[in-house]
Amino acid sequence: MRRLALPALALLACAALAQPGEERVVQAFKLLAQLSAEGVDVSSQVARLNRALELYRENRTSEADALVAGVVRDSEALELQLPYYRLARWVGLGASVAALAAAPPLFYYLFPRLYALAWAYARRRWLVRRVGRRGAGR
Amino acid sequence: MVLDDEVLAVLTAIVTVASAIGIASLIPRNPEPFVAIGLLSERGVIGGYPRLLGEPVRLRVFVANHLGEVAMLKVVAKLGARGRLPTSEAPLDAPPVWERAVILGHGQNATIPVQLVVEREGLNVALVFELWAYDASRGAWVYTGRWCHLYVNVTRGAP
Repeated sequence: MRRLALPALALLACAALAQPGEERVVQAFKLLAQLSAEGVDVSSQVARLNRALELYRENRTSEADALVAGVVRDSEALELQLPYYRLARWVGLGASVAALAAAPPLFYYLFPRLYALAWAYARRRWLVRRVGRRGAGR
Repeated sequence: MVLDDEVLAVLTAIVTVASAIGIASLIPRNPEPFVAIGLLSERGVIGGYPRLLGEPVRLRVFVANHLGEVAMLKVVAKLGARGRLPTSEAPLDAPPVWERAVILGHGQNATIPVQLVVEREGLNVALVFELWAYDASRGAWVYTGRWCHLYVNVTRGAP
């Protein structure tokens, strides 16, 4: 079997081996990771960071730096709102769970009454006529 | 029609089950997180991969993030051979020849174009693509254990 001369093989990448600007993007990503773990929507920031990575690869460093700086600024603003976001999320979740948990007993209590009301409403024009005493006419 | 107790009990049971299902779907769960990598041809489909290289090899690498949060992933290309491939625990002990980072939200994926030039000839050269993820808590790139490869023969006369 022909022995492969792998050590003699070499690949040249068409792109640069080291991802340019990666360190700056990593710093912004750390903020995004924290926000994302809390459930904050960071899709806009993700798209901008990916664009920044492209710009770094094209050596358009100043544009990329501006994008990354904008993402960091937005992420820091979101980070400040994180306690309120967290509180609103838990309050919303609690309210939803409470509403769903209350549905069965409310249904059990209200449904027969509403049904009786609807039944009576549907027959609101009915007349009750006495046809005589029980056993009358015998 | 009169609503008797049996009918009311059945209706209440149905509402109770629906309520329980609704609550279960609301409670946040932590599904098994995973990332994925796949190798596609230049046209972005499975199959039709180049086998004989005399010119730059053009491929596409598909990556997907299902970690439950945003992830910074990096595809790292290395040179391997038959019997010299990465495992799910350890990456290939070889220098990277190409790499590309991408940031993906949960449930997102990306198809990354790859273009490599092989300088010298050889048989059964494994083009290995490893998937790494940036661990923000450790501040370092971590091998995910996901990788794919393609065997190619490189002919003389490659640029």
